[in-house]
Amino acid sequence: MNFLKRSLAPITDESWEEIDEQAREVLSNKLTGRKVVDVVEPKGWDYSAIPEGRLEIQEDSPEAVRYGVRKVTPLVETRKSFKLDIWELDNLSRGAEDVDLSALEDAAAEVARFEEGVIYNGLADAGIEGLMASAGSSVDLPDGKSGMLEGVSEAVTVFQDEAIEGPYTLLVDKDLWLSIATTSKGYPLKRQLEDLIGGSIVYSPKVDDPVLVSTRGGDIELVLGQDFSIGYEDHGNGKVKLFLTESFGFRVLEPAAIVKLAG
Amino acid sequence: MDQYHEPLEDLEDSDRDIVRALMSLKEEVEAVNWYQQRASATDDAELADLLAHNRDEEIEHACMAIEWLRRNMPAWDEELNTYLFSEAPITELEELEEEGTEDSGKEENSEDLDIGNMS
Repeated sequence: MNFLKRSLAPITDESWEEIDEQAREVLSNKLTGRKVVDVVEPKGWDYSAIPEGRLEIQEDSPEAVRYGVRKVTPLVETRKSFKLDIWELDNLSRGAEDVDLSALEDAAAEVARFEEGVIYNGLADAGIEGLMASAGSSVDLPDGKSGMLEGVSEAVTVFQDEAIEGPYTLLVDKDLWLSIATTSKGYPLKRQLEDLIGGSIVYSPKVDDPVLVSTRGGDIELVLGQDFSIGYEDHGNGKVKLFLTESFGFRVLEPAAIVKLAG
Repeated sequence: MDQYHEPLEDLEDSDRDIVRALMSLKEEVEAVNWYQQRASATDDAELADLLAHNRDEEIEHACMAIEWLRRNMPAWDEELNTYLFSEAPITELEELEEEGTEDSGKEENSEDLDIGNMS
């Protein structure tokens, strides 16, 4: 048995399938960072750190022997517990199609939010700087709706100067997303921007300032230990307690692949 | 057509394809055996390297045939799932599988939600 202990849960195979499917649906909907960065295949639950291949040399060592400490990016392990009603789950086997899995959906949304937050804004405890703070350069974003085209054009030029090829993805917050999606003077702004960047525009609630990212690959990595999984914790009083977990590390290898657009 | 043991007219098209795949697998495995022996026996280092390279190519072909069989004969799928990429003693794997335990050493992330790369 592995750490998920799924076989111990008082849940039918049919219910597990539905739980997994529902979680998959919510996660796929909420995760945007994975569309932008390279996702390195899961390396297993026992994978703890990404080797950086570098040494931090201790210059002031009083020891006769000089030494350095190998640098690594540790993996972050998340866990979010939630409870489901066993009787309600059994209704799946009776053919019910409207089984209440809202606790699972809320948990999936929360773990997705956490991963998004770490990718975009970092996590100091894990030494992760995050995509926004790692941006190699920044360009001004002029005011007004035409400002967006100007700013993104300049960001694309910055990439070209640095020999960072496209396609590029534009990450924006909700307000900007709505503004882009609804601006249509002649040719829709969204289409103009997409033509310019050769990629797509992605909205995430965890993005503050808009940022243009090259998705050519090899620049930004989300390294998975265990990809999102659902395990069993315990059960009683008609409820089964499950948990959503994952382990991952994040690093930016080429800051020049990220250009921030500052207003 | 000595690979057939039953009258051809009694076999479905799918059976004939399976015979083709099984015969290919048999030939590839036979070639692995020959190359292995020749690579081991020769005193010429360059020839040994070449024969070992060819042997490994045949192993690749054999694996491709096995994968086709796995996709087209359910019992292959079931058995390969039980025995491949495991770490427990091979003779105990079937029992472990029946018990429904997963101590056979298979990768723990096999039960993940397979979200992976979404681009």
